[in-house]
Amino acid sequence: MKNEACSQQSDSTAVELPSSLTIFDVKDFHLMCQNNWPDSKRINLDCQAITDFDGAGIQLLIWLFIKARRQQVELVLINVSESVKTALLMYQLPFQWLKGGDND
Amino acid sequence: MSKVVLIVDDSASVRQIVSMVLKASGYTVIEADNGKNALDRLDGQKIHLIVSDVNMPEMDGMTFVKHARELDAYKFTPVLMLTTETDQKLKDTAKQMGVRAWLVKPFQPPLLLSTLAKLM
Amino acid sequence: MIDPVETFKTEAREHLVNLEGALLELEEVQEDRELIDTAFRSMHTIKGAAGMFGYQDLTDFTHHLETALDKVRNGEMEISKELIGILLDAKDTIEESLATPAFDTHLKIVTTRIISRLYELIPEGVASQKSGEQLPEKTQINGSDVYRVRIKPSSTTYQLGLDIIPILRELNSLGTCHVTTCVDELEGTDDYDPQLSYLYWDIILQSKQPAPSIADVFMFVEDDWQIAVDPIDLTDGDEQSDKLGELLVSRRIINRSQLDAILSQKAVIGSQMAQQGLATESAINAALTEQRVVRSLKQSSSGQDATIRVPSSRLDTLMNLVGELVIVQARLNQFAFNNDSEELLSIAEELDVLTTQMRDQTFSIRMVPIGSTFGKFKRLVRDLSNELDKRIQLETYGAETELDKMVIDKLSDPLIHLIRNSIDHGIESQTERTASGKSETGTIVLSAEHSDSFVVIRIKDDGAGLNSTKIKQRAVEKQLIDPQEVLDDEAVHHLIFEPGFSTSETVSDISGRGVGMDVVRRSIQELGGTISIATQPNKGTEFTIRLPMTLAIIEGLMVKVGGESYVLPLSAVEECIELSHPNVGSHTRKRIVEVRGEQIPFLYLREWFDIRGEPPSIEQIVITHVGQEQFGFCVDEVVGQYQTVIKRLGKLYEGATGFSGATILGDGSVAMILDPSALMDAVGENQRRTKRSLTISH
Repeated sequence: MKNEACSQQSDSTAVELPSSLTIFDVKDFHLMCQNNWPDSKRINLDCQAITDFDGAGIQLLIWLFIKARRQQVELVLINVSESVKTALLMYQLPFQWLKGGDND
Repeated sequence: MSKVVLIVDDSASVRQIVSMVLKASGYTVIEADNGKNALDRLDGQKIHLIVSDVNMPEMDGMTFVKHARELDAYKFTPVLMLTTETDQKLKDTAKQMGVRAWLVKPFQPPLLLSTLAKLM
Repeated sequence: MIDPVETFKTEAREHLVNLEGALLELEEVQEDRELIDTAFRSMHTIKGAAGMFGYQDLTDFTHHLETALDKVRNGEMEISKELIGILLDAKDTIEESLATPAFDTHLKIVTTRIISRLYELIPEGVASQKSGEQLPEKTQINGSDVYRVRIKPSSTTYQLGLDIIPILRELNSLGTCHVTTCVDELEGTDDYDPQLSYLYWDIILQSKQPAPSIADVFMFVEDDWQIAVDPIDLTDGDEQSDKLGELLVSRRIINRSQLDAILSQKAVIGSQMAQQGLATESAINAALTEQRVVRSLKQSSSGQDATIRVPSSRLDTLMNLVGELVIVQARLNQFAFNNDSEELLSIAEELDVLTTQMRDQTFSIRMVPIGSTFGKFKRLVRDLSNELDKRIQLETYGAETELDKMVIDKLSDPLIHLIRNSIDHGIESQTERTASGKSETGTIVLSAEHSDSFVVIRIKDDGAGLNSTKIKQRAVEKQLIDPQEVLDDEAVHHLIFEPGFSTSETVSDISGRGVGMDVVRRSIQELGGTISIATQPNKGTEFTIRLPMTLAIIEGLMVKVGGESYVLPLSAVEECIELSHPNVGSHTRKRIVEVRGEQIPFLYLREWFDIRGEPPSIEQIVITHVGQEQFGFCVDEVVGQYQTVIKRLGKLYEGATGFSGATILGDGSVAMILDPSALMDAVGENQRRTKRSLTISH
């Protein structure tokens, strides 16, 4: 499976999302997140590699945000491609997404 | 990365028109002329949608879909069946296998595109 | 020898020139049979020839264009600028393609695009309504409808290869979407399985597309997903309805007592509810979205017509002045006529035309669509049905029907009462309804329409219908009728309008003390209208209110009784017949005259008004219709048609039954305007009283 690169930068961690985040990939990725969730106040989810995603993938992202909120961890998406941005805009989620990092 | 569609139909002209229309809209198209050859194409490469005719030699559409669904890499792949008749029993059988989308032949190319838009 | 393919190419080019010429001209002219034919024939020829010379791709391509032109020929499709544009592009492409028999990639792409554009224009079967069948009010603002779309995919959705993203994208292509993604189930789950679907959506969609196009989006998912597409009513004139609390109640997320409790805490509603766990954040967001969209739409629509707010009192004054003007003008007319002055007559006539126009304009200012009143009722039905724990829906038709504002104001209470009555006594509880094989949800239909010179308003429910036996029993109890009295169904039904009548066992707060119905009828009569009932046990009841269109000015028939002038509303008058031998001799004041085999009761006005003196040898009976019934008035003389302005009777005359007003005649004298339906009822009332007193004296 895709590896997850963790780099420490002050107290924020970057997590690289895999190139495919679809119904086929979510089970494994979820398991990995459960096992390797970084212990950090801020986590940057790097979306650079994502080329393929679907509703299951987006749902997983939402779940990550919910989990982060519970743990009072700041979760931010960075390097978001146009297609991912468009999809997220369609969901019109209440969280503050796409802030900080190299977006907009 | 463009989405990949597998078209399975024994009629060359159907394959051609589907191919033409989909490619013009930016999809990548893989063709197979019957169920058996189609299974051969399911070699692990990413396929986003399977469009399959029902009546074909060697292996018909339903059998093909049944086998495809047994493969890990394709068990969740959406399937669009092409059919010339609207046989309810056929549809119910297909439903059991997880097929939810149908398109009646002959169809106008734009209808194919708008159908795909609801699935991908 | 010339290469045949070269011949084909040359000929094809010629046809293309013809085609282009015809298309360019059609762009200007639009409807020219010959040009259309030329275009079609050119395309047809090219198609045929191409097939013969191995230009298969070209044949396939032109086939589509030929189809389109054929549809234009048959009148199935119209020429539009867009179509011409597409065909001209096609012509260019065909020219390009003549170079080689097979299309290269570039041509393939270009031609497919042209075909797509073409098919967007070709009319597909549109879902048609049965003619004559009206659809319930749908609110359009700027030509769009607003819908609440709720989507809950099945949990195994993703495993079936179905996805929400294409659906959201399709909905976005239909119009403007305001989406609320509801995450509460995802938040609340302890055992998250990423392959299952937990999210659901609440969307407000603003779209110009017809409802079937919206439903179409869900064609592959509708078997597995829970989908609801509900139109939102923007004509709801109720100011409260789009408040957050109200929206949450109407969505049945909280109930009214919970809302009241929250409101009494005077805190921001949304956060209170979230804190107290009464509603999820998603639910509140979704409701807020609806509120925001609906409010902005309502604002934008009201901004569209340039309107001026005017105090009602100013309109009233204006109306009065116009009324006076009409009267004075009538006097001038009469004077000019009497004095036989050509010049004066022509001036009077000019004045007549102007006054009439002015009168009509002034009256139309006060004409307001009844829809604003209908809007109030939706809230009423919602609240009452919740209170009584019945499921009731209100359908309205004819909201655009215009009535004088004063009439609408006066109608408001009677209509409310009738609706309350339907909800309280008419529509049964869910269990009762299912037991008698009806749908759980009862329906009340409120409709308004113009018919001749009347406005007809109907309130119809599919409830239990009126119970004739119970009504009769009650009437006897209240001494309104004799136990032995034989009454036809209609008469029994009309008993509910008698003062002091009520069939409810306990007087419910909702419908009041049964004072309602007689007040309803009186209010309608005061407006010069009638109310009738149609009912069927277990099927339902329908109240029909007929109101004359023009209120303050009526077309009348002037009659004379004992030297005094009276006016009967012309709209009610059917015919006048002579009467030489009145049927004298009954104790009641009701007489019968036979007209073409029909027995028509009539009122002898000389007697009614207690006029002394000798009646003329030949008297006239004016036959009027009151609702479905016919009723006559016996007068000395029928003078003729007369247009009058109704003046309200002063306080002094309030108790006098049978008059809807008075008017000043050209000679300055006063004529009373008779109200046929009130008089008819009064006679009926008298009859019963007399009968009872007769019975007692036995």
